[in-house]
Amino acid sequence: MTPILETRDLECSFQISTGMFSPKKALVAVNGVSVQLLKGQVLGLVGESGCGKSTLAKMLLGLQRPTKGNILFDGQPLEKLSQFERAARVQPIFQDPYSSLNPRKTIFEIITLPLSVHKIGTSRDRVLKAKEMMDLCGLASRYLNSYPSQLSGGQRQRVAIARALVMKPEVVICDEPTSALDVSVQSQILNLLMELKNELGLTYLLISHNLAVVEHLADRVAVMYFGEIVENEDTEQLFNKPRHEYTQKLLNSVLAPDPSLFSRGV
Amino acid sequence: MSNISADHQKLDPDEALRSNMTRHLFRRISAHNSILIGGTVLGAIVFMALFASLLAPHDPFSQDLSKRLLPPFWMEEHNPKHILGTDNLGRDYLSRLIYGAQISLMIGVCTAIISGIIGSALGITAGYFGGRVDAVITFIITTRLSMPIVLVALAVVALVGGSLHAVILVLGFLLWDRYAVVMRSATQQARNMDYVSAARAIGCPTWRIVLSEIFPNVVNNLIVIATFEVAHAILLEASLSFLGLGVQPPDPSWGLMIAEGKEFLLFDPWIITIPGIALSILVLAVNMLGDGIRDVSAPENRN
Repeated sequence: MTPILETRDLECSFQISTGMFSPKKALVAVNGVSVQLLKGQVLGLVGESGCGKSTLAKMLLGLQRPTKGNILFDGQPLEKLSQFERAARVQPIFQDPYSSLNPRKTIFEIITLPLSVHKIGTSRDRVLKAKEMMDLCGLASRYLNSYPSQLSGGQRQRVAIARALVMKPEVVICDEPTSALDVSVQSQILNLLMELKNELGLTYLLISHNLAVVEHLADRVAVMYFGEIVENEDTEQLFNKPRHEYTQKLLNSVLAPDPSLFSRGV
Repeated sequence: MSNISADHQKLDPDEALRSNMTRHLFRRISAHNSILIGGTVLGAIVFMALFASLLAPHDPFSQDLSKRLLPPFWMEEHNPKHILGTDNLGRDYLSRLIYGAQISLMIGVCTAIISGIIGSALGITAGYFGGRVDAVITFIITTRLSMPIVLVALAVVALVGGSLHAVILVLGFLLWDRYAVVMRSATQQARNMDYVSAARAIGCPTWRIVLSEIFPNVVNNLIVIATFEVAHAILLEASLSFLGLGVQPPDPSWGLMIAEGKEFLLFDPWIITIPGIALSILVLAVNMLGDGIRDVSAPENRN
C-alpha cells in the first residue's frame, strides 16, 4: 500500500542572527524526518514543545519551505504542485479556534473562503455548500451570518473543521485540535473528527500533547524529539513497549490518577 | 433567486441578532460622551463649511475701510450687522470665519487621505512581508522621522510658492509616519494569527490575504490615526499660514486670520482670539471623536 503522504529525510533549518555583527547560526527545527501517512489512517505525532512538530506540519501545508528532503503526495513530489493544487489535497485544523477565524468575517464567508479562492460554484451553490458543511460538522445553519465572536470555542472549532473540509481534501493536518478547548468539548470535537474521517475517508496527521487522545485515536504514533523521529510504531506497540528512552520518559510523565491515594483516605 | 430569499427568511433569528448588534453599537456610541460631543461639534463645523455661501452674512472678500476693526458683539460700540466685528480691511469677521472652515477642513481631510494611503501602504507592506522589505521601509520611516516637519514644509513651500494645493501635497507627503509605524505593528500582529495561515494554506493569493484578511483587522487603527492626523494637519496649516507660507491672502484660512491679526494683538486682542478659539474647538472635536472611535471600535470590547 503506497502512503498517501510521505516525507523523505525532510529537514528544515532557520538562520538565526545573534546580533548585528556576529555570524548567523543555524537552528535545525526538523532533522531528517521520514514519516508515512497511509490512506484512511491516523498518524499521531507527539513530542515536547519546540521539538519541531508544528514546523513539520507547516512544511506539509506548504507554509514553510523545507531546507532539504522532499514530501511525496501519492508518490508525486509535492513541490511540483502549486499552492493552489496542494490546498485541495491537504488542509489544516489549527489549535486555537480564537485566532484561526477572522473576527471580521461571517461564518458563511469563513467556510466558503476556499471555494471563492478556488472559484468553485456560484454564490448560491456556496450557500448550500456552507449549510451542508455546517450540518456535517454539527453546527446549526442559523449561525451562517453570525460572527466568530458570537460562537463558543467548540462551535468555532467546528467552523474551522468545516472550512478545512469544504474542499474535500484527502489529508487533514490537525495541529493540537483540542488543546484550546474545554474538557467537555474536547471529546465532542474528537468524536466529530473521527466520524468525519470514516464518512469522508480522510487521513489525519494528529499532532497532540495529550497522550490519551493519541492512544485513543491514532493507528500509528511517531514520537519526535529535538527535530527527529525517535520512534514510529503501531499505537498499541508503542504504548505497551516503548523502546526509545525518550518515549519511556514521555509515557511516564503522564499524570495518572493514582487509586492508592483513595485507599489511604486522602 | 427565490430560493435565496427564502433562505434569508429562515435566518430570521439571526437577523434579529444582527440588528441587536447594531443596536449595541449605537448604544455604545451614544453612551460615549466624547464621540457625541466631538461628533456634534465636528458635524456643525462641517455643515458650516459645506453651506458657507448660505450661512455667511456677508461676502468674505468685500472690503470696506470705513468699517475697519469693528469690535464683536460683546463689546460696546459694536455694529449689529457684523456680529463678530470686522478685520483691518473692514471684511466681515464671521463670514471669513465660516469660509475659513472650508479651507481648514479641506486641508485636514485631504492631507489625512494622502498621508493615510502612503503610510498604510508602507506600513502594511513592511508588516506583512517582514525581513528585508521591513528593514528598508523601517529605514525610510526613520529617515522621515528625523526630518523636522515644519522646517521641511517651510523649505518646500518657499521653493514652490504657497498655495492651498502646495500645502496639501507637502503635508500629505510628510505626515504619513504615524500611519506607517502603527499599521506596521498592527499588521505584524494580524499576520501571525492562524486565520492568515489558514488563508495561505487554502492557496489564497497574497493581495487577497492582505486586502480581505489583514486590512479589515487593522482598519480601525487607520481610522483613529486619520482623525488625529486631520487635527495635526489643520494645526500645521495654521502654523504655515501664520508664517506666511501657507494659504495666501485674501483666502480666509484660520491660521492666516491669526497671522493677519498679530499686529493688533495689543489693542484688539479679539481679532486673534476668535479664529484661535475656532481652531482649538475644531482640533479638540476631531481629537475627541478619534479617541471615542478608538474606544468603541476595539474588538476586545465587543459584546
